[in-house]
Amino acid sequence: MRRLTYIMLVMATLWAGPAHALVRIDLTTSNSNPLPVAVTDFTGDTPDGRSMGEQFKDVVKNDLARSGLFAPIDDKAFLQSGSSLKINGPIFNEWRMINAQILVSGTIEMLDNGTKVRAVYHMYDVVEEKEIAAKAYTADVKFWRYAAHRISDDIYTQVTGEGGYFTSRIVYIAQDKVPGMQTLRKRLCIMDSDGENSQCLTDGHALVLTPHFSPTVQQVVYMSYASGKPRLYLLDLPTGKQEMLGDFPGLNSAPRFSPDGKDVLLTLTMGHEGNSDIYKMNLETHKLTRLTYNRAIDTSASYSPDGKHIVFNSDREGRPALFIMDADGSNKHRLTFGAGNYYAPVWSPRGDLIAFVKSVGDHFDIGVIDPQGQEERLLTDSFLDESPSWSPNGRVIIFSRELPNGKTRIHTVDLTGYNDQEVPTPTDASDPAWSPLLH
Amino acid sequence: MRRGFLLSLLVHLVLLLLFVLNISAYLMPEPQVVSMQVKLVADPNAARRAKPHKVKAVHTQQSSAPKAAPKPTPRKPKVADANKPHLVTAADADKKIIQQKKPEPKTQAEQQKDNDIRPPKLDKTPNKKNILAAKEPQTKPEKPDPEDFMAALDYIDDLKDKKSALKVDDTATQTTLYDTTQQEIGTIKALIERNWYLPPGMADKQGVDVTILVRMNPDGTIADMTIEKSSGRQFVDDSLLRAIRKSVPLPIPADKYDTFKSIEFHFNGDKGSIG
Repeated sequence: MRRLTYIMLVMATLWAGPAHALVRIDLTTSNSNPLPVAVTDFTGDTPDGRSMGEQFKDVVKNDLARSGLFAPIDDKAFLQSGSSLKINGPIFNEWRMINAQILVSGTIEMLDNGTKVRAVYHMYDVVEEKEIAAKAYTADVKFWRYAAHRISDDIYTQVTGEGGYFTSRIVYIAQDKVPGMQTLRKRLCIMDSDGENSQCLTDGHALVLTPHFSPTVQQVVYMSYASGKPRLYLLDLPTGKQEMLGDFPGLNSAPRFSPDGKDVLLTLTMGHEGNSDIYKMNLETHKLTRLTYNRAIDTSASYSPDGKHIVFNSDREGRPALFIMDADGSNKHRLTFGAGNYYAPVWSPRGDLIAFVKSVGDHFDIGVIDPQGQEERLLTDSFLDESPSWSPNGRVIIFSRELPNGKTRIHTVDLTGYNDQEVPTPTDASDPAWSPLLH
Repeated sequence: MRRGFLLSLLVHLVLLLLFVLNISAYLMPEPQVVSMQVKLVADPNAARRAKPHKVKAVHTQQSSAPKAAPKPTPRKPKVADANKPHLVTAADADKKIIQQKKPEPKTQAEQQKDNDIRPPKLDKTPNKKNILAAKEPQTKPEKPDPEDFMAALDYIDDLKDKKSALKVDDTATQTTLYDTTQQEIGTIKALIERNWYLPPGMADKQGVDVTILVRMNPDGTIADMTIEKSSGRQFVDDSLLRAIRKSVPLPIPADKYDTFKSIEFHFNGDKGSIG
């Protein structure tokens, strides 16, 4: 009996035949080139709608291209016509032939006698042959760019899994020469994330510096010499009302909102023989809390996105370096130990990095470091780069770049150090600060 | 006496059965055997005649049929349907024909390797396939391999290796790959990686761990894809599905279809770097 079992076992083994192989392929890298994407005109039924549709396409293409993550395909390469697309839907084969991976098409409708615009977009995965997103946005005609940026953000999020940053604004200082003024005229201005719709809020009679948005984007805090002395001001955007944030003796500088918008961090020199320390002011009660007591210079404080920590700049251990403390001022420890001087730290909204300015030799460059003090790297290599500020999604840093010829322009760079781009401004510009997303 | 007789009868029966079933078919590596037959009686037009995809090509058009009017209400993106059968398109079919017409390259590197690795049969250095893939393949017409018997022995050894490897852990899975398929694996790997677009500077990219199982058709097109282990981030899963689909038809030699019938694509952020 046992032998019979054995023989049957042998036979069963033979019956099984060659085992089926499963090939396992371990991928070790990916393509980090921009993703080829086709953005078509947004078709309209009226002449107004059609020209608006072309502008929508231009804004979306420009946003995607500037992000460095997308490579919009030239319209001239398109095989399927806009009208065919509208009637038949996408013929995926034709979009694959021009190497598109994503296709975006849309329609424009003018509503209420042309005072409103309704944009509908469709986003297709050309390779998998499926629609992956579609949505409609309606906006007042004068805010049509807002609707176009929303579409860009949707596409960006769909492909990258991260929040977008196109529907946002940038506050900055415009600098220009005007007759009758010996120094440069400096005005507080606001523009869209792509440099459009620039609009100045102060007249330029007083020097203004370091503006920052509140988390609600309703207010801007900044430093001004309007009273003849360096003081901090809060500007309410809807009403245009300005309010001085206390009149403390000495230098009042480096204001920045807390993530909940209830407090402002600031640097004051009052009563310490010119030595600057970091304070927190509650905007409702105007109560002041002192956070640093060192005899050294402490300044440029910036909250972590969870509001639990503060990164700041100090020369308490010799050269200017970055330090981190808890939000109540306790547990201070040094973050940077590299050679050179570190300034102007700003914590990423994503929380994973801190951007800063570092000077080594005669250069001032933008760099990042993680909150554990590891993986420090410089992102730019120029003459004088300063005032870094993060995009709402923590992927891009905006900063001002002064060239040896004295020109100052605003640039952006990815946290990878690639994709350095100028943000077009009507005049020279500095001190850019990004708003949160306006969704 | 009777027991002896019964035993003898059984042994004879088994032997007879083995002859009837043709043992050699089980001992010889099946892919290799198929390979030689294909080479000897190859008919370049067979694939064209056998191609049953004309009807499916129409299917593509259907899928792109009028998408109805723009939908007025905002809607959520559809969840990826990993089980959707692949729509074979005209372009795919064309590419496939081109693919199959090519004489199958037998590379020097591969042959060199065949010589090198016997008797130590399996090189387990993980980077080997990269090195092989990096070498420029020199095409020359394939000759019948006089060492088929040795190959068969290797094959059996490989099977043993594989069985023991399967019981161990992930790091040992390299040993599941047949030496003779390393070249193809390197090519497929490079192809997928080139088509796998992910944004640089991704947050927490070390945490990405994704596995997709692909069942292949003999012509290198995809029968179906399943996300075996999601990365937890849909855009990553989507991008890899797209990369695999974009790479169709995968360059799988017809004689190695059995080997490449099922392919598991895997990425782990601890071992590789993306974005």
